[in-house]
Amino acid sequence: MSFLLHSNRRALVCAFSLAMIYFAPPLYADKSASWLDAVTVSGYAKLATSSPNRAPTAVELDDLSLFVSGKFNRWLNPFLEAEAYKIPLWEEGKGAQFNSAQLVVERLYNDIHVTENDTLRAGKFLAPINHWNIVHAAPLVWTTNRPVTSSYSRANYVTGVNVRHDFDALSGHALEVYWQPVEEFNPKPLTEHERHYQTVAGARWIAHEDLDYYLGVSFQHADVAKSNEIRNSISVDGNWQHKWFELESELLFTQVDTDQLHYRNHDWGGYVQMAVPLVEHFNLIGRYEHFEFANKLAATDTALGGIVYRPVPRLSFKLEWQQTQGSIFQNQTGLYSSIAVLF
Amino acid sequence: MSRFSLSVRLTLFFSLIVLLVTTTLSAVVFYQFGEKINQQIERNLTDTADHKAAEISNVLLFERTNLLSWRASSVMLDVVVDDLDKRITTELINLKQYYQLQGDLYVFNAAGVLIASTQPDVLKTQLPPAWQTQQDYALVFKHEVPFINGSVIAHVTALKPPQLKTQGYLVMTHSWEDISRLLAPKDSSFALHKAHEGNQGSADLFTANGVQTIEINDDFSERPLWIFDGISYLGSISKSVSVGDFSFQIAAFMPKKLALEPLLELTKNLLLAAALVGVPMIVLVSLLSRLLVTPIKKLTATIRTIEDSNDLSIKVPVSGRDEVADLGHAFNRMTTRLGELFHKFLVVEKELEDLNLSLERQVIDRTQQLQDALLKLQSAQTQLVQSEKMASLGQLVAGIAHEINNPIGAIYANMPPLEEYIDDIKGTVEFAQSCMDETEAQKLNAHMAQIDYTFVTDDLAKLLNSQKQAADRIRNIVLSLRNFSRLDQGEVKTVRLEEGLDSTLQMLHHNYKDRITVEKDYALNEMVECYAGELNQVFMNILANAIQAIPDKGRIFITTAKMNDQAVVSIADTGTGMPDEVRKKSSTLSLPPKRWAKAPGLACRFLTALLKNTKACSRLNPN
Amino acid sequence: MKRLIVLGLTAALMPFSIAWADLYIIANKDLPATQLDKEDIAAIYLLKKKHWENGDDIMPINLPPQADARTRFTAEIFDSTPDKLGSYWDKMLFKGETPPVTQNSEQAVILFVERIKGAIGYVETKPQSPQIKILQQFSSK
Repeated sequence: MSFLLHSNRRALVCAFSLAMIYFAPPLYADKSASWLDAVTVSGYAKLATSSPNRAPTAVELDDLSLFVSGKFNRWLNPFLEAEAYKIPLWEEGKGAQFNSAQLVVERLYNDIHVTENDTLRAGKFLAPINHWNIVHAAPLVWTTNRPVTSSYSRANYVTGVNVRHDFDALSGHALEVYWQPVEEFNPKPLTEHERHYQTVAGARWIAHEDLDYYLGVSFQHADVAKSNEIRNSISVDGNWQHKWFELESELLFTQVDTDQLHYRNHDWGGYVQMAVPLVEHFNLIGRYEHFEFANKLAATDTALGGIVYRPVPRLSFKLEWQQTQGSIFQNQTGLYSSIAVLF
Repeated sequence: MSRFSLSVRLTLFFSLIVLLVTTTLSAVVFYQFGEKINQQIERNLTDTADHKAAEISNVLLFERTNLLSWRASSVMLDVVVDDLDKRITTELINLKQYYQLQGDLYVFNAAGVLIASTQPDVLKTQLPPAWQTQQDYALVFKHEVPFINGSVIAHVTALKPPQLKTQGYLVMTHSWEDISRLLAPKDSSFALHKAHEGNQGSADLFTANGVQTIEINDDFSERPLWIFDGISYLGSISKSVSVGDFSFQIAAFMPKKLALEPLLELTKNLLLAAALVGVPMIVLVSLLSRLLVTPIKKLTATIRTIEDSNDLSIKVPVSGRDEVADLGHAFNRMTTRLGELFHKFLVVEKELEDLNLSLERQVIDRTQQLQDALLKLQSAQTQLVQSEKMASLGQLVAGIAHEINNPIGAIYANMPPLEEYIDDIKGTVEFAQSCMDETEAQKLNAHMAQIDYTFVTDDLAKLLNSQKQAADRIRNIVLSLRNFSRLDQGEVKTVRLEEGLDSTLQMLHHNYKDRITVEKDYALNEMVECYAGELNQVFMNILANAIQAIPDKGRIFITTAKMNDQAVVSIADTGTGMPDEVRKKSSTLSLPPKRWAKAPGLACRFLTALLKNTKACSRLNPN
Repeated sequence: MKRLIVLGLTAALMPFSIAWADLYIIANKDLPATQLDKEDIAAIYLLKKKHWENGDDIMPINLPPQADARTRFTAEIFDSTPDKLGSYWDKMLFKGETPPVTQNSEQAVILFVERIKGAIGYVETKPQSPQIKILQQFSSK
């Protein structure tokens, strides 16, 4: 275990364990949902530490998100999610820092339940490109680091309209079609995403979505803002919840039409992830991903192994090691951990 | 050291300055900072009040925030089932323990029945009226409820699940005693005042002696001083603070003595500082003044030595290079220069004396000359006057003579006819006599005897004769006068001196007749060219003097002779002598035949001058 | 800890042989619905069916995760475990849907359903109250 020789990592592991013991009870006690007039308020927080091989160790409050949802009647069902993201708390070499926080409106939309089975959504919402994007809150996913396939290459947010038709509520068979006419509202800066998108149109056909498994196919056509780049993507993602394990996978192919430097005309990649419950709320996670970027020469191969402790469904402690080979995108080889809580 | 000594004066002066400065500073400080400190105290008190209000408000707001978040807890939904499973109770107890709440928590159901509480044995109590509210949240100020001892403050919030109506109430209490503890006086005393319209009302004031009720009015800030229990306080009130829709203010009071302590402290320190600084400064000043005064003293001593010894070559000993040394050097240079000057002075003084003496002499000479001149001028003046008189007299005389001449002429002219007529008359009488008869002749002889006709006719001839003589005399006098005056015209004339002398004698005749005998010896008898008028005046003067000089009887001797080419006239008398100075100048007139200057004259000196001026050599022989 | 004790006591008060008791799906008597089949119940508890026919909001009620009734219910309706369902509800929460409320005991569930018109819950004790109607019943196999 050579990585434990690194003093920072040892400290990290200790802190992680201590945090589990100390934070769990009060965080558990602190759950609330407001009862103010049909408005639900909840949120989640993710405190992450990263200790990559070739970068300084950092502790940051990765997500602090608050969402408010109101259910008044058929026509008025607003939803707002505001997020403060990437708040660095401590960085190796820089010490404690508490003064930068970036706030973004992650979601802001209104749902109109036209019929029992049809919903019109207008505003800024998460693009239904895959399951991970729609449910990406840290407490609801197994790993600290998100797979490249699930976020890169496509618009993650849509500012426009979405029409959803549920064929069968129970099986989850549904179709969603969305369209962003102009550009994204309150986008995250380019340090967070590779690109901003102008017009986006897409669809997701959810073959099946229930407690046991889900399967979906997504299409998207996106124009990149401030450039002549056009991206057309198609992906398949699915998840299977077995009694003894959970298996998840996604495959993506994006045709990239750009006049910037590129090595190939497409992005493509996929990942496979497995979560195995162990004893007493502990889960073992493993993931392998391969991705080829249009604008990077070498492909990226990532292997990840982690442990997740989930004493209650809303609280999870994650510790994982990621090994990256090839081009680096976002996360290098290193040790990562996080505490996530849903409230 | 005399009281005028520099050191003494410097020291006194400086002490005065220090004293003045200290006093002024203290006064200024007292005045200005007194004001400022008062304001500062006011502000501090207001800050204290604000802080206290914020403190209390924070406590209450904290409780409120907690309450609002707790009511949203899913556990609260159990109020619908009257907390059958005691989840709410458990939660309340946990919350109270975890947050260490000072008061208690109560949950009432929709019917107002207490279903859960952290206070034991109060279940099923009815919701007190004070806790009934239509609002989402309310803060109930100090009040009492039946089942709680003492006054409390209560936060009341309604439990309303989404899409359902109000299912109950959640209440948190906070004992008033605890709030009172927050308001306990330390340096300041506090009063909590429930703010509402008009800002009036009573408030509880928490002092060291307990709680008392005071009145708070609109004019709180204007009132400078408050008195509780005989102690004066300065007071200030905080801003209005709200918790929910309940607003309150805190008034803070500080004992005036305490507040003013800093000022007194400051003054004491100031005075102390002044003293501490003043003493060494005074010592320094004394040293400094001594430093200044010593050279001056040395200088003064040297000067005195110089004065005493009168030796300007003595020099002042100089040390150093400051202003006093400069003074010494300058003084030395000055004495040197003075020595040189003094020496020069002595020399010059000697010269001056000599000059002075010569000047004196010159002055005396000039004075004498001036005096002489003055005398001459005076005599000239007299002579001029006399000359003028004489001139005018001459003119007058000429005039008179001329005037008299005419009547004299008339008389003369009438004389012969008169004689003739008389003869005629006499003849007539005789004829008449001849023609008359006896009686008539007798009458006529009687009448003629009456008037003494014989005498008359005899006397008539004598009268006529004397008349003639008198007329002759008058004519002679007039002629002499005319002669005299005609000659007095300032012209050179050729005359006979003897005629002039005679005329003069004629005029003076009445002065000397019967008294003085004039003996003439005219040997010249030639025409002489001269200023006849002036010469006649001279003759007049001399002769008048001679006559005057003879008091009674005497003789005057007049001789004219020719000596060489000059006419000499000599006049002598037997009168009394002249004063000596006149004697020096006797008058013997010598006339050169030509060149005479005009000059009036009176008396002897004038005469001398005249004679001199007429270029006649003259010698006045006093005898 | 206290909850377990309370739960245990409550459970002790209930009739024995939980495992063989029937599962009753209960609702307020005033609701128009009379019968619900498995799919409807599943739809309700998956937060997909939100309104009754008369327009009232449906309010599904859960028992605590450890309760046998819940395990039974989850198995019966969804053929799944409470944990998984719990995850599902968390995901729904993330999407803006409120998960079902939890009551600690069956008494509480019954009382709740009595008092709140749109509520629906599941119990293993047959409720006696006239305010309650039983929409479905599952017998143990």
